[in-house]
Amino acid sequence: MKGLFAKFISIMLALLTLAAVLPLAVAAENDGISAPNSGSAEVSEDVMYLDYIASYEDAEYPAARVDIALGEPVTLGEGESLSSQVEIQQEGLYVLELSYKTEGSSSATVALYINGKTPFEEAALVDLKNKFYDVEDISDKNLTSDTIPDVVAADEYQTIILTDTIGYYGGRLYFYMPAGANELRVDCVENSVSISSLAFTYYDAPAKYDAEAVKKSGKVYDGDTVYFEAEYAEGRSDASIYATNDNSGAALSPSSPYKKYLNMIGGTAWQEPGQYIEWEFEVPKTALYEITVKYRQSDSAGLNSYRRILIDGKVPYAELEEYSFGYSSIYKNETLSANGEPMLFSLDEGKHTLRMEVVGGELAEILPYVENVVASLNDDYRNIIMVTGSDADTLRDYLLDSVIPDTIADLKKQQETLAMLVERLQKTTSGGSEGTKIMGTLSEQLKVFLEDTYNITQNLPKFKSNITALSTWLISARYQPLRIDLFALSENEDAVKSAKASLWKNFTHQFLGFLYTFSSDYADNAINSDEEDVITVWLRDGAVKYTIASQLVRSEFEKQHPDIKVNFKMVNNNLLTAVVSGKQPDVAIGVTNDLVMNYAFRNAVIDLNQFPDSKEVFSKFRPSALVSMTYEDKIYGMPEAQSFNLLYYRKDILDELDISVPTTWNEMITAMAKLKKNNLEVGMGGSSFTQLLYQYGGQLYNDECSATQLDTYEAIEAFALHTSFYTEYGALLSYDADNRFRTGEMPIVLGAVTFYNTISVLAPEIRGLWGVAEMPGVLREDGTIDNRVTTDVSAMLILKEDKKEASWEFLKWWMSESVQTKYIQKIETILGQSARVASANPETFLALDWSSEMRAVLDEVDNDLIGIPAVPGSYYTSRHLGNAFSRVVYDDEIPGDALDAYVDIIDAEIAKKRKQLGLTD
Amino acid sequence: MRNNFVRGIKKHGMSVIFSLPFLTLFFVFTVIPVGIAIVLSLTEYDILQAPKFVGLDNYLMLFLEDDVFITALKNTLLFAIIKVPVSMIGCLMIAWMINDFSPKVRTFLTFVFYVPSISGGMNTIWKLIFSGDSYGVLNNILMDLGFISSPIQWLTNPDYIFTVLVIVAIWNSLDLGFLSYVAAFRGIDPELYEAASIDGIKNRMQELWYITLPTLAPQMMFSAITAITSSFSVGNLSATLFGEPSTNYAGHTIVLHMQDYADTRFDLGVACALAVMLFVLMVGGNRLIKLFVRRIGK
Repeated sequence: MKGLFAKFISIMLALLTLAAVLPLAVAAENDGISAPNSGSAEVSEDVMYLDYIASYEDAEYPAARVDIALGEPVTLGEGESLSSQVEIQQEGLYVLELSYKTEGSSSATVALYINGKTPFEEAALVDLKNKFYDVEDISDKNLTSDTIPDVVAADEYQTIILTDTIGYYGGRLYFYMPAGANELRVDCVENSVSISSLAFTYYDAPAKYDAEAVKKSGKVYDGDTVYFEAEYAEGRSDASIYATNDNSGAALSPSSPYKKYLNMIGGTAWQEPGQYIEWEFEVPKTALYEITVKYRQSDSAGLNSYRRILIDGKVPYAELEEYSFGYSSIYKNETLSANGEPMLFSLDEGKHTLRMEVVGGELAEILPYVENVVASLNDDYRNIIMVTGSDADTLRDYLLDSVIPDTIADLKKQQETLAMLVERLQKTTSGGSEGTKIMGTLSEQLKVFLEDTYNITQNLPKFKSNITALSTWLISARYQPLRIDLFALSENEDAVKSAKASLWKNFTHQFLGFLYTFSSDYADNAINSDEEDVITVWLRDGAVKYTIASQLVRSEFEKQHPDIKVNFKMVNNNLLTAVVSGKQPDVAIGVTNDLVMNYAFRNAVIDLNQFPDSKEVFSKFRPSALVSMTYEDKIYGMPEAQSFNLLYYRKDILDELDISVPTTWNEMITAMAKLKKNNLEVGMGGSSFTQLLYQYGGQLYNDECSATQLDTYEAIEAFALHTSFYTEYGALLSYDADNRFRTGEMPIVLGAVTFYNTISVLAPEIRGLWGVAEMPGVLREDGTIDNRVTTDVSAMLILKEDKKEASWEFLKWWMSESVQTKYIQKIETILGQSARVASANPETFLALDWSSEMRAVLDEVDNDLIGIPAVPGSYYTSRHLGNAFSRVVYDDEIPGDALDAYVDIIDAEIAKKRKQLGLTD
Repeated sequence: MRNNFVRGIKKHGMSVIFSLPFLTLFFVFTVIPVGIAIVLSLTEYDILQAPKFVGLDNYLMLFLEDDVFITALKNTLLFAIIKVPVSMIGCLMIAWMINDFSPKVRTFLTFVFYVPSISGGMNTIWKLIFSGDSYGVLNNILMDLGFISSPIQWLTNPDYIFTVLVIVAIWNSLDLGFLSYVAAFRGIDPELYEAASIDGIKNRMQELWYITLPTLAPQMMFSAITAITSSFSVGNLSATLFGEPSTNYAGHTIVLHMQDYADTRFDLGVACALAVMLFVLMVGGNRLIKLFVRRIGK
């Protein structure tokens, strides 16, 4: 009886598995997803490498090498391509060997085409990593912290065998080449790269570790254990991978409660497939060694991190092609082992290199499926809300199964895929639990949806948040962070010192460190500012930026200007009180533009136009940046950061709905109506009345800056248009632009430059599907479009008379192109692209790592910026424009009346302030 | 007179020495600044330039010319009138209720009720609840239930601002006064109730009015004063929720108006005049409350 039952169950299970896997196989065959947004047609996307290689199961791996003659190295710029003929004698699967050098400071991305077609998805986005070196050794001169050395990009060719850098597949990529003449084309998609050689060749895969054979080959080392510190890395793929301080315990080497040693390398900077670090180490004598890595992997919860380990450019044993470092919340010694037994490495006396590359790990194979699911579900979600709206009426049955049968069919397909993935994950992973949970929930939810499509409208917001959760998990699952503190070469693993410190040691370490916080001078370089040649500078920004800036001051400014010392401090508030009490700094960085004039009118800031070279210095800024700091012919501040708004749009959705990117407000209104019809929105938050006012030919203040010009025809016209977006065309007053843009609910968003950075980082799944353009404008009579945009500026001030020459030197130095570029690049390496600063130095700003499309737009916008003069009492303008706006939008007042009600109030405040300041009698 | 003072100091020498540290601090950081504020309120002073004496101009300007001041005054008074009684009665009732539980449950409940007032960061959560996005918590619920069809701008629409302010303020109004009640309830001698029941008290309401409340009079005074002070000085809450200033000044209060004059408009003279008025208001409010508290149990 019992046996029968068990049999029945097992048969059912087998059937279930079959049912779950079958559709997937079918799905894989007909290109995975039925997304309507197959962007660029020439790429045969959606064939994943795993499916590709599976279809050539019986093909040979010929042991031949076919070099492709290039002659001179070929340099490819963005969008350029190289194409050459390859004569293949023996058909079969080859790997591609390539020597390259990236130009510029970031890695290049190339796409490969064989006979005009990308063979599989992974070949369409191959990152070719750069190589970086430290210029000098880590300096420990400083008492409280080591100084991070500068890095430079190596000017040398690197030879690699292509691997997957998206992170879906751990091994090398094989290309099937039929016999005869073939064409290989390499397109450079991002940045630029020089290629010196290309060859289809045979990869001689390493054999598995064979303990007996290795032990016979030599003698096991019998001396003292040799250690080398991981922070002294030789080369690495990104400038953002550098020696870092980990103050988590006493066991790190070196560590001190008082000093921030740079004692490890890696962490979240070293996590994307393809990123590598290289070390050089000295072997004392020829022998067999065990290698131990002291590591920690707690940056990604519960997941193992995988590395390919190469010694002297070769993977010694097959086990090291994809070596797993288990999750560990504390530092741990991992002696490289096979089958639980430490491996021995035969090393000759002298210098060797060790290289570790991030490779896709245990989740790698399922990630492409998850990515397809997310993309499809996002499309499905959008198709659903095109019918129901994002706030669907829950009492109504939209009969979705008959209105959008394709979408419902796709939901079914995705549900099946998810169920299959969940099952696979449950079987294999050590720590995929979070992903399993999210996918399980989503799959259950889809099941409920499919039972009755009426349920979809009931649970739309939850559905959306589940998709977002899955795509967030997808980003994190690709990443494989790893911190390494120390390497050891030893005769056996017991000879390596423990990775843990005793409880007592750790306690004293932490406690002393805590006590030390009371005495440590975090400014680190406080100099007596009363001295003749010392200027005090206040940076009004966060700690990371302060650290970077103060390093630049030390390493560059003080070397260039040996006669000036800088007392550099991080002070965020209290500038006003400091000025009142006479304790103001010589220079303040990061002051908002309304404050500049507030201080200037009260004689607390000195005029910068008095210096002999001021004309030349200010000419490099955009004129618009100076407007708000200029009064008559005096300039009171130096622009530091300048930001403005742009139009962001989803290419796929606008194409689908046949909407062109709006260039005027009239086109914008048409686009809004079309999108509304499909229940999609436009994020209008980035448009402002002031901008419209200038586009209509009006201006905010009269030429003497003594009163507003809000009662003109242009002003009323602009205000009517601005409010009509909300009252007549239903633009939303508040929304979360990032997520709505990503799901496609809001295919057009007007937002600041920072939105570009946010979306690039936050939503990799829509990479390539969105674009930027200039803000819409107003059609002029001559047929051109006035699409000027207003800008926001922050400034640096000189607040003291007596050392103003030195302060002026500092200002000039800080805003110079090279310093700004270094400053921003360093910030980006630490805080990531989303922290990119919009420097007011146009040269620096344009030289940042933008896509070519973005750069073209920025070039255009450069001439279209408007600065708004600062007027005493100008805070009243923005405040009451807001009030007038609310009267129209909330209380249905007529725009002209609402605006008119506040004109006198604003003008009165301006007049009062002017009188107080003695600007009028 | 002078003689008396000197003699007094000699007689209570020890007490004077003991209170000296506090008195010094009190004078330096409270009495003197108040004095300075009164003097500055009679001047025109833009912080960076020297003050100019203008007499009562600032006060006159506030009452006669400044509409926004009247709005701020109205908002502040209305806020106090709603919040003070609600928070006083609320504190008392909840403390009374909690008092009947076993000690462990009581400690837990005290914690639960007191937590809102020490978790200042919770205002961010309120912003999420009252977010104007259709995915904002409240909007979403109301739209799901079909009460509204498009999102309401709780935080920027002047029609809702004041109501939202009061709701959030009441939510975190179980403050120090509440704690003092909880402690005081423990201190009431149970024999009093026994004696009273012999004297003919019939129900719990009478118990409350004739025994509990008069015994708690000092704590009620304390709770009243903290409630008044905190209601009159409301400002930060409004600024975090609605921005500074709120749309059409719908959530503007005297403190915010003062900050507006001082920080944005650089009119420190007017700001000081406002501070002086707020001071007078608070003193007056406290007097008024004392009158009420004295009548309890009589």
